[in-house]
Amino acid sequence: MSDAHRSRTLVQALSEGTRDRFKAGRAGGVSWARRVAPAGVLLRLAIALPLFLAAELAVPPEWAAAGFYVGAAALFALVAALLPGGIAPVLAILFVLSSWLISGALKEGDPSLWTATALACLLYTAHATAAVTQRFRTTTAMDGEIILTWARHLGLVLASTVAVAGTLALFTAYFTGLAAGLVIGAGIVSAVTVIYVLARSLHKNP
Amino acid sequence: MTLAGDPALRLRTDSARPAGRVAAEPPVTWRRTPALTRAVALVAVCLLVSVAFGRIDLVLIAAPFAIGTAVLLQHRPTRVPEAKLAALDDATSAEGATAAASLTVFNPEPVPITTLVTAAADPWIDLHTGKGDFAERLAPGSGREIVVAGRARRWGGHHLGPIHVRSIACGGLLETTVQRLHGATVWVLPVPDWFDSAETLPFADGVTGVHRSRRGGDSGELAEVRLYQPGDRLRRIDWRTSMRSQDLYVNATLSERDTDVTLILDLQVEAGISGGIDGAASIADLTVRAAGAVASHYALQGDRTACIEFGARGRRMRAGAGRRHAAATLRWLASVDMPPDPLPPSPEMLRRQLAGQRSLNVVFTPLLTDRSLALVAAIARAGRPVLCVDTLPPHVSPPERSHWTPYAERLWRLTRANTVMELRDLGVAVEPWQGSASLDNVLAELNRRRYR
Repeated sequence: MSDAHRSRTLVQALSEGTRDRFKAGRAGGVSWARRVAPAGVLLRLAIALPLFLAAELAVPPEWAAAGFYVGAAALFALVAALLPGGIAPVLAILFVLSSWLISGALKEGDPSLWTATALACLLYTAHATAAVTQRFRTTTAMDGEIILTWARHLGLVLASTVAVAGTLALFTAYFTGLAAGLVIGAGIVSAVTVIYVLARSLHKNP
Repeated sequence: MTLAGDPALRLRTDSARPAGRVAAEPPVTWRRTPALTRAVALVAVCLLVSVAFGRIDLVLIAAPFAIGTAVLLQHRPTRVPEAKLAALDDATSAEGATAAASLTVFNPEPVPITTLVTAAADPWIDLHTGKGDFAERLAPGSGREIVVAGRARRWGGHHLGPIHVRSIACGGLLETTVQRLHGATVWVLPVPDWFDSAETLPFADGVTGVHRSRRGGDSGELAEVRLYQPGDRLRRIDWRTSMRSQDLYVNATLSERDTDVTLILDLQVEAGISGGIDGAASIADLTVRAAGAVASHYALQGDRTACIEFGARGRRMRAGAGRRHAAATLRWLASVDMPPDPLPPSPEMLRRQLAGQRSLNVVFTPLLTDRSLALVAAIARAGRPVLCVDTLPPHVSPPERSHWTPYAERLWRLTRANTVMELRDLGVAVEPWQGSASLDNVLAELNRRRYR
């Protein structure tokens, strides 16, 4: 077999392989489009969108409009939505928190209480949705009751957060000196609660 | 030498596999998910940073994580849900219909849980959307029957499984380890082509049936109108003819009888790529569907129908008639298997399994091996009526290997046509399978030869 013939055979084999892979990919895409479940996709959207909005809200408008920052925020949000069961959601939340801390440190004055509340609500929405979605694929058909339970829980927690923020705002307006102490107290009570609940869950028969 | 010391007994088998301990399935338990770890870690980090850097806004950000986690973990399950595969009474379906397996999941805890079911299946089963990968909500202390289903695209025994069951509780903060159910085998019956034949069979036998025999007897099949003879029944008198001719005439009829039909399935060679019920047919597809059609037609008509495999397994289906036998034949045909490296069957051994001399033998063969030709020729030489159904699909051709391939294929097809002509010279009716009424011409030819 001559070299020319061998190279022609090689090119033909390569082109056939590429064509087969393309056909298989297209068939896989068509199959996915046929099987895709709307609930799975919408829940992933409910992870990506709050994370991206939180990242945009956490920084001053001039940073939020920067291409690099928008790209990074979109990337973190997208990866968290596509892989909700792994480490991606916590990385995205940490990205938002670090942006919030850095922008707060560089900016003069105290950060707004209501911006922090909005940030907390958005981050918890992404976290709770990722917790529900972590084992579901985009093709998993879901019972409507699952979505209803998720929405009910989310509403309850977000309302509680807003209530806490409202109480804090009330106290900040009238008793400025008490605010820091109350917030730290609330944080400690929350931490003790979580630690207690965790201890109960890990040791079934205390 | 003792038996244990025999070196032949210590030889390794062809597919030797190291004898290892069978891995036991780990017990299903509840465990925390990455989401719970994430929530706790975020609360801890926010509190630490708020204390370290004096950022009290972080306490507010951590608040929903702490509240949400506490609310969700208020009611935690301890016992794991039980998932069992329910045995279906009638685990058969038809090609193109739905093949299903049913499983029951019971939640023993007073806490609602979500059960995620993920099933795999044979490539010939297309799992329905929402029936192979789905999540269901289970109320506290309740059970639910869940169906995993898909469209069966080809006949045969197909495996529906393994089925993975995982339960999730507390809004995704706790989950069970995966419970693996091995699944079930679903038998998919071939959908035979529509076949109908108006021709009677050449050798009518038995005492009653639908085929015209050569003997006279009571039936509706008119043989002739002849003069009355002593012993004729009065109700056979043809009064119109008698009135016209002024002599007594009677209608003589031929008796109607049933017969034996033996279907011989040549399963030595498989060629062509099966596309299932919607795609192109391979030799096995054509053989099974054609045999199913012919067997159903004659069995429902009342003839005794038997099937014999001419292949590596050499199975035999007993002769029988009626609706139940037709269904049993389809189930038998669904078990047809063509091993890739079969032992060649013996035509002589198969000939010994054939029923009496008067049964009709229908051989479904692609006429690709000398053994099949020898079998057909031997049956014909023995004086048995034999009908050969060519099951080589018209689209099947050898792969293109060089520029000589088309010429070689043409020569091969010419040789095959010559072989078919030689078989016809021997008295074998050879007809390609074309579905409904495709055998009427050759059956008529056999009848003519018989009554000549």
